[in-house]
Order: sequence, then structure tokens, then C-alpha cells
Amino acid sequence: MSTIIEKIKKELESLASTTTLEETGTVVAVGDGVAEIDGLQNARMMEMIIFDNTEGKTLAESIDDTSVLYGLVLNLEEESVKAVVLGDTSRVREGMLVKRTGKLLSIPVGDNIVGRVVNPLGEILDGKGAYTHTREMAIERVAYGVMERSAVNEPIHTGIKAIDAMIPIGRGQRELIIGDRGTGKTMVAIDTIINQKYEPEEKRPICIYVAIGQKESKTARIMQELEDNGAFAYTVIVSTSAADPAPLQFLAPFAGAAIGEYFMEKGQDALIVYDDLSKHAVAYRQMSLLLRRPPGREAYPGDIFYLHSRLLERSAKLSDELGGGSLTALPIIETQEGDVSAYIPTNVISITDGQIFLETDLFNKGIRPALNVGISVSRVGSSAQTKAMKKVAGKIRLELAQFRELEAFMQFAGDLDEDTKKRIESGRRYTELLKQNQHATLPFYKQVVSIFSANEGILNGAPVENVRAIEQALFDLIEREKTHIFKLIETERAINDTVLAELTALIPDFKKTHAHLYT
Amino acid sequence: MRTRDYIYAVSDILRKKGDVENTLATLRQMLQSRGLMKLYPAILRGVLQKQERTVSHEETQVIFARSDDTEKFTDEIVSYLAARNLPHIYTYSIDPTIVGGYIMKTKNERINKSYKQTLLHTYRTIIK
Ligand SMILES: Nc1ncnc2c1ncn2[C@@H]1O[C@H](COP(=O)(O)OP(=O)(O)O)[C@@H](O)[C@H]1O
Ligand SMILES: [Mg+2]
Repeated sequence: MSTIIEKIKKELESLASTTTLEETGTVVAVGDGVAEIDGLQNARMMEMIIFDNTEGKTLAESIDDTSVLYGLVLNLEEESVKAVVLGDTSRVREGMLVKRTGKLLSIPVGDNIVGRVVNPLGEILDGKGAYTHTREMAIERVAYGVMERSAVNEPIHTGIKAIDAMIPIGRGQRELIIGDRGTGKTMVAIDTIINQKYEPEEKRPICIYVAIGQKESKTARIMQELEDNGAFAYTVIVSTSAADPAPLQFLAPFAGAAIGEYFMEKGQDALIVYDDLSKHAVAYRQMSLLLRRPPGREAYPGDIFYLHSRLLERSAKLSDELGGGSLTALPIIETQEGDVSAYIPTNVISITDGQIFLETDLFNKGIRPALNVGISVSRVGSSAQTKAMKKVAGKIRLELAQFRELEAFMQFAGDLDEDTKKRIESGRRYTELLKQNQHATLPFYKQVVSIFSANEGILNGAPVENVRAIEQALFDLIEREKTHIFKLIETERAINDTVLAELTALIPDFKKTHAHLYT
Repeated sequence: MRTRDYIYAVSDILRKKGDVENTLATLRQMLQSRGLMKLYPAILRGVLQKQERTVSHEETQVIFARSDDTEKFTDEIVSYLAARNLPHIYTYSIDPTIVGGYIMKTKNERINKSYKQTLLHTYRTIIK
């Protein structure tokens, strides 16, 4: 009780001196979510401003009204600024007073944002109540410099054999997933998130899925899939739907990056999926038209390249001095009829460290994930691959490259010699081995066992359609009788002599006891 | 939408160049060549409105809670304007919701010495 009295007394004493001086401007025009404001001389790009609606309200009304309507400064002109309204535009009227906050747009982040669905402003979309935040993370910021980074040296396992073996991704890398609609791009990203459950908890990256202009039903389904597969507990969803205003969609990936940086700066690893940057480019184009910026190629504003490179630059592997955290990015680009030479795809290809190409043809042929391993690359990931995976990956890559050549050749040649036929058979079996159903990701030690055994001939003599059954039977056998093989590869991340000997010895026995799979 | 685009463009040019005759002549020419002359009056009205609003918020305005207060703060207000190199003229209005004190608005600043703001501040610091 006495503290209340004290507080009130103190306030009363200072009553006469509560003067505020605010830098202000006046709304001179508003429409399509954009306000033109006279004044605000010293406002900065990306600064948050407040549309003031307290004027003419009684004290009681003002006390009740705690909703603040923010705007974001995006155009600085000589006498005026243009800002997008981050909320209900109908609340903004001409003549309205606008005040500076002096703060650049930021998103509140704390550890328990994990497992939540938020919008780019940190507003809660899952109806589960507020999360406590410990930092305000700037949505736009300059990326870390070369001196503050270290080389990528640890893998992010996607759980997808074709990727982890042949297009390995390292923590801190930017790997583009690109393909037409319906080729499984989102699925590769979601499965990568799901696969992180196999990582030991202290090394498990926090995952951030950024939905940019997606259908709400789709995002809801993704959340459910993550939940069902035990992956939502370490994931944050930053969601914007096609119904959201373009500026909000525009902000989504930057907000996601800011959340990622929060964890990275704590020395943790984070993985972020931008689904997708094609829609992001469209939102930016729309916003720029509203801001009356001059359009450039394909009507995109001239600085779109700079925008996306700024975003992707923020992925990093920090040096040990800075805690050694990382932010790995999986941006997604949707192409039209496989055209990777369009403006946005070429841009993003040039600013990523590699690309995973997914193709409609392969998808329709039943090769899923529909990866074109011939043209997909990862420029920095191989230094991050585990020794175990490195050891087995060389052969499969070679076999598949030869297979692709022969396949092309096959279309012209009539009869083939025995050796060629054998190679084609082998290529087909490897291709079959790389197929994986959705959400059927494999921890790396199982992948290693699978590919190692294929290299050692476990698939030889088997009909192609039995390949996946053989793999499963092998896993079952090891799980039943030789779990230490999995354990050893998992902990040592290499194939030691014991494992090598045991696995090699296992194969002929397996073939005998599973003869029914070879006819 | 189209009319508004023209209003924006014309206002912008006027603000930068101030040459009314030439700007309007160019506008008429452009509208004529595009067969949009019927938009001309609406554009003029829009530009006028925009100009009037701009002029009004470039003047210093002071809000008092009651007419008795209009003389009370003159010294404070004038010394503030002097410090900012602004002309010592201002218009004022009465808004009882500010309870007491005054609010002064120049083009780029708002000085809020209203009791409403103080009370609101007090309320927010105590009732958390
Ligand atoms: N490996 C897979 N096996 C079977 N179905 C898949 C696989 N990957 C994707 N799909 C299915 O293909 C459809 C399109 O996948 P999606 O990831 O949404 O494509 P995109 O994001 O490229 O448009 C979905 O219905 C998905 O369930
Ligand atoms: Mg998708």
C-alpha cells in the first residue's frame, strides 16, 4: 500500500515537468497500405513510426486504447517520406500526426519463441499467449564480415540420401532449392527440419520456417506435419499468407533471419527455410509499385538483387570468438516450366553456395525426391561431410554419372554388350535406392550403411523393384542383431575397421537368408 | 486510381518547381493527347486540397484545454519559437480532452505539455 502512495507522490511531484518533445510529421495522403508523410525530417530507412490516434480522445478512452499502429519508413524524399502501414490502413487518415520512434524495425525474440507461430512483427498467430522475449532483434542489419566468420565445417543432415551423399550441406551455408511447382521443394525443406530430430539435442539446430505469401491452409498443414513428426518443438514458423499486405510478406524473410541470428549469436545452430523467394520478389515488386519506385527488368525494382543478397548474406558460420553459432539457409525458388534463366532465379542462383534442382519429369517418373543429381551442386558442403559419408559417397556419384551417360547413349544403340548392361542395371538400382518417401528421412549412419552395402554389392542380382525392401530388411537385421554398428558410426562419424569388417561379412549372409528378395 | 496518380505527380512537381502555369499547361497537353481531359477538374481539385492541407500543417498550431488558458503560456510558447527560429505567429484551437496545459505542433515537432499526457503517463507507470 505504502509503495503505491510513494509512487503516486513521486509522480505528482514530477507532474509539471512531464513534457515530451516528439519529432513528428503529418499524413498528407494514404492509400493501398502506403502513407505519404510530410515532415519527419530525420527519419531513417526502416525506422518504425507511430500513427498517433490519441488526439481528440478523452483520458478514459486513451487509457483503454493500448493498440499502437506502426508504420515502416521505406522511401526518403526531399520533403516527405513514404511509409507502409503495418496494420489496418483504414485507421490512418489524412492530416493524422505521425511520430518517430527512433528505432529500426525489430522483432522481439526469446528462447521460448520456439514451437510458436508468429508474423514478421512478432505478433502471435497461434492463439497460445505471449512468449517472453529477451532481445529486440533488428529486422534489417549488416551481415557479419569475413573476419567474424569461420569456414563451414559441420554438416546439416537433410536425411535425404541423394543430398547428404552427393550435395552435402554445411552449417552456415546457403543452399538453394529450385524447381517448378509441385516438384517437392517444400517437402525437401520440411523433411530436413524433421530430420533434425535425429541430432543430439545439444547440436540440434533451431529451425525456422518462413512462409511467404503461402495459402494459410498449406502453412497449417506444414505445422501439423512438423507436430506429428515431433519436429515442431524445435521449430518457429514465421507466417504470412497471400492475403497479407505486400509489406508484411516482404518483411517475413528478414524477420526470420533476425530470429535465426538470435540463436546464432547465442552460439547455437539455426536452420532457416525461405518458402519462397519468388513470391517474396513479387511482394517486393507490388510494394515498390505502391511506393512509386521505378520498375526495372521484368518490372521488378532495380535493387531486388541487392535485397536478396543482403538477406542471404546473413547466413553465416561465426568464428569461435563469437561463439561459433551458425545460420544455414535453404531459400526456395519456384521456376516456370523449368526456366532457370529468368531474372529472379538467375539472381538467387548467383548468390547461393549451391543449388538443388528438382524436376517435374523426374517427379512424374516416380523418382522422388525429384533431384537432378547431374546438375545439382554444393560448393562448400563437402568439407563438412562426415568421414563415413565421404568414404561411401565417391562411388555412388561415379556410378550415377556413368549411368546418365549410358542412358543417353542407350537411346541410339541397339544391342549392348554385357558390361554395359551390367552398368545400366547397377545405375538403376542406385537410382532406386535414392528414392525416399516423404517424411522417411534417415539418420546419416543408416544412410552410410545403406550406401556402403550397395557399393559392396548387396543389391547385385536383385530386381530393381526389390531394392527398397532389401534396404529395409538390412536395417531391420542390424537393429535386431548388430545395433553397435549404427552406434559406432554415429559416435565416431567414421567407418572404423570393426564396422568395415562386420558389414562386409554381413552381406553374403544377408543375401543367403533373404534369397526371396533376389528372384 | 489514375486521378490520384496525376494529383500526386502534379503536387510533386509543383513542390519542386513551383511553376504553376507551365506545369498545368503540360498536364493539359498530356491529358488531351491521352483523351483524358475529363479528369482535369478532379485533378485540379485534388491538387488544391493537397496544397491547402500542406499549408495548414506547416503553420504552428497550439491546442489549449480551455479558452482561459490561451494567454497563460504565451511566454513559454514564444521563447520556444524563438529558439527554433520560427515566426512568432501561431493559430490555436480548444480541445477540452487534453485536460490542461497545452500541445504545440510545428511542422516537424510536437511539444506535449498537456495534463492528459502526464496523467496517462502516471497511470501507465503505476498500473502495470
Ligand atoms: N519424396 C516424395 N514422395 C512422395 N510424394 C512427395 C515427395 N515429395 C513431395 N511429394 C508430394 O508432392 C506434392 C508436391 O510437393 P511440394 O513439396 O508441395 O512441392 P513444391 O513445394 O515444389 O510445390 C505434395 O503433395 C507432396 O506430398
Ligand atoms: Mg512449396
